[in-house]
Parts: sequence; structure tokens; C-alpha cells
Amino acid sequence: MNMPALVLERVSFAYDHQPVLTDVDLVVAENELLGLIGPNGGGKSTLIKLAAGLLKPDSGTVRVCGRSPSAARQEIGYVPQFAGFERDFPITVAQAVQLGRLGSGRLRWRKKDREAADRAIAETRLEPLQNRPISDLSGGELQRVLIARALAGEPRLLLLDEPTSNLDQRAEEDILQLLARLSERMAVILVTHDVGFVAGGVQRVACVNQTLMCHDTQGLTGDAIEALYGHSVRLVHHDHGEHP
Amino acid sequence: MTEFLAALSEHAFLQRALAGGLLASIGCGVMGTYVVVQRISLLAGGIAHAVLGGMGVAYFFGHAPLNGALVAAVVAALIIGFVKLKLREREDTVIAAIWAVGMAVGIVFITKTPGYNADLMGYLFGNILMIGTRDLWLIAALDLAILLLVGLFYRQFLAVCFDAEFARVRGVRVDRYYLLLLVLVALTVVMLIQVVGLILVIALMTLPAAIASRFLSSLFAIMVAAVLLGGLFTTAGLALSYGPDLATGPVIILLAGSTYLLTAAVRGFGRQTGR
Repeated sequence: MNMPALVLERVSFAYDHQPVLTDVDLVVAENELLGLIGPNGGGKSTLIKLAAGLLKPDSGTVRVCGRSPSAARQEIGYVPQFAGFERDFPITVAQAVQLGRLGSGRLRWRKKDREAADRAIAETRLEPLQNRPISDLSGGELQRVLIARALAGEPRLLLLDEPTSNLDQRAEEDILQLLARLSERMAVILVTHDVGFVAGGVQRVACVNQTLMCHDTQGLTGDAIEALYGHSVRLVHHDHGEHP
Repeated sequence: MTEFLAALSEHAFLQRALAGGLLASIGCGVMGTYVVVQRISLLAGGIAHAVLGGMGVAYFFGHAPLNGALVAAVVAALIIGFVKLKLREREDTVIAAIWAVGMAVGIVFITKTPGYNADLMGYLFGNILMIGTRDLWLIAALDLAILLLVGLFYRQFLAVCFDAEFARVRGVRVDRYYLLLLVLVALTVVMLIQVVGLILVIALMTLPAAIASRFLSSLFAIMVAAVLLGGLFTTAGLALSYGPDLATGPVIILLAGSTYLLTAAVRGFGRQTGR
């Protein structure tokens, strides 16, 4: 029996008494690629932050690989929202990726840390850019740096908050392929505005709008979705009866 | 210039001034880099001005003003840091309040202190020529503390400045390192007060790093360059002000400021012709 990468049980969260998530249940298996969609302010980012341990639920429990997010932080790879990022910060690609190895008490990088960072750089095809300052990078390249930084920590659960906003379509497909590949060895949860992105390798979609509804990507006639998304889709099954 | 060099070999107070300027440039360049990349100049300004409160109180009670400055700087840094981290207060309002209240407390106490207050202008605009041996030791000790802590926690500070949220996910005690960083900024302010006074501190702290950051793209490289530039500005300011008997602190700042504008123009021009 395999341990799920993420379990939310009756999780509720409010910002200043304004409920954002109410009684959310979610189980994400260890090699699953899950897309989170939903309207702005619907709670997608909040859900990611709860899973990352950045926020504590008002009620309910969050378990990452069977432990609390703070106990399991070595298993969590976090890719923050692109928009809130200082583009002119003086740091090179390699330095930024290495920060993904940072843990609580350690002061020096060990050989293991450098190797893990190098692997993450190779996996995201950033080798030719590794000594460039991040201010030189395109949006897609910077996004790959943020993913590489998360991968450097060798996570079992990768959380991405809108990894494809601000990207052109090619860069977006690039990221999608990478995530599909990564989901062969870790659980990947991504927030996206972009319904087209959901069409890719995503196995399941969760629609977050204060409550959460999961949709398997199988068993749905593609036509309706294709019409809706204007995209070749092989997923999404709206089963809103799950939460009466 | 030859006049300055001749005087330098002759007068111990000039040698101390030179040493003070160079020593202060070390902490200044290192911490100034953090202030610039984190965009917390306003915050550093609040700390600098609040320091006058501590100096005034210490002065009134007959203690060394610099000791009062140290206490006030650290307290102001912790208050501002706490407000920023824990309260959802308007940060700029709180900083402005601490800025002004600190100065008000300082002026009240200084004007109530019996005797002639010749030192007030010195606190505000610095008097590098008055640096004593004890001040030099204090500046050197602060340098040592800054270099030690920044050396030890370089990666943590980098992570906190670059992306605090990510650092938090990785288990870095972001709040703790942020407060430590602010306290180090506060200590730097105190040591620079001797050189340029508390009103001009922020310029000396930020301009060298800001100039360096136009041309360099690693935090460490900017720190090294900012230290060298700071040393250059303080030394040149000292030399240029000596002959015509100008106020040294403002001359240092004018040098730094004009260099900053010049590099801005050069970069702007380079960008335009580069296309």
C-alpha cells in the first residue's frame, strides 16, 4: 500500500473571517498530476499554501507523505507565483537553484547538495544558462529556474502556483511536458488559470471554489470540453454530486 | 591633494578620520547591499533618524551618545521589523512615525541638557575629523560582527531576501533572519553616524551598492564593489574637503551622489545606443 503524497481532511480556512476554503477533502496519490482550476479568489493558491505549510488550516488536517507539512518539508517542492518575483535581484541561475537545498540548520553546501542542484539544472535544461543572472532570462526560463530550485530539494510532492501565467504557448507546453515527466516519480499539483493547460498530461482536475470538486480525466466525452476549451482534451469529468 | 597628503602624515586626527572612513566602508558596503536589493532604504532611514532619540537620552544622562545610539538603533530596528512581520499595519506610516518621534525625543533631551550643544550638528551631519581612537575600535568591532554574521548566514540571508516565502517552505526561520538583518543594518547606521551623521547615513549606505548593482549581478560581487566604492568616496571626500575646509560628510555624499547620477546616465545612454 502506498502512502498518498497529500491528504486534506475537512480542511477549512478563512482570511479575516472571510471563508476561502470550507470542508475540503482531497487525496493526491504519489505519482499523480493534479490540476487545480477555479475562479480568482476561489482558494487555489490558499490550498497550495496550506499543503506547503505556509498557512495553517483553521480546522481539519493536512498531511504530506503522512506527516504535517512542517515535519515533511524536505518532501515538498514549492514553486511560487511568478508574478510576485523580483526580476532584478542579483543572483545567478545556479545560485538560485542551490537555494532549493537550504534546510533549517545547515550553513554550508555539501557535495550531495551541489549534485542535487546540478541534477535539477540538467533536468530543466538550464545548463547553458546556469551562470547567467536571472534578470537576463525570459519568462519561460525563469519559470524553469523556479521549478529547478524546487526539484533541487528532491521532493515527493511538487506544488506549483500558476506556473504558466505570463508565458507564451511554447514555453507553456515546455513546462507542461516537464511536469508530466516529473509526475512519473513524484506527485505534482499545479494551479492554473489556463484551461488549455489542463488539457495536457493532467490526470485529474480539481475545481476549487471555496469547496472542492474533483474530476477524473477519464470517462468524459471530449466533445463538450473541446468546445468549451477550444483545445484537444482528454479529461475532465464533472461530477458535482460528490459534495452535496 | 599634496597638501592633504602632507597633512595626513602630520596629523593624527586625519589619520584617524581616514581609518574611520575606510573601516566604516566595510560594514556599509556589505549591509548597504542588502538594503538596496531588498529595497528597504526607507526602513533604514527610519532607524537612522530614530537613533537621535537614543543619543539625546544618553547625552542628557551623561553617557556617551554613541551607546545611546546603539540601543536606540537596535530597538528601532526590532520595532520596525516586528511591525512589518507581524502586524498588518501600514508599514510606511509606522516607519515615518518612528523616524519623527525618535528625532523629537532626541531634540527634547539634547536641548534640555545643560551647557552648549556643539555636538548636535555633529550627530546630524557627522564629523569624521573628530573620530577618536575609541570610535575606531567600536567601528572595527561592528565590522567584525557584521562580517562574521553575514559570512555565517550568507545563504540564509540570500534566501530570505530573494524569496522569503520559498525560504519559509524550506524551514528557514525567515522572521529571525529578517530581524537579524535589520539589527545589522541598525549597527551599520550607528557606525556611519560618526562619518557622515545620521541625516546623510542612508545615502552613504545605499549609493555605493546601488552603483555597483548597475554593473554586477551577484550579491557577493556587489558587496565587494560597494565596500571599495565606499572607501573611495570617504577617502576622496576627506581629501577634497580638507584644502578648502568644507564639511567632510556632505562632500562624501556629493561625490557618491554625483557618481550615482553619472552611472545612471552612462547606463541609460549605453542602453539606448545598444539597440
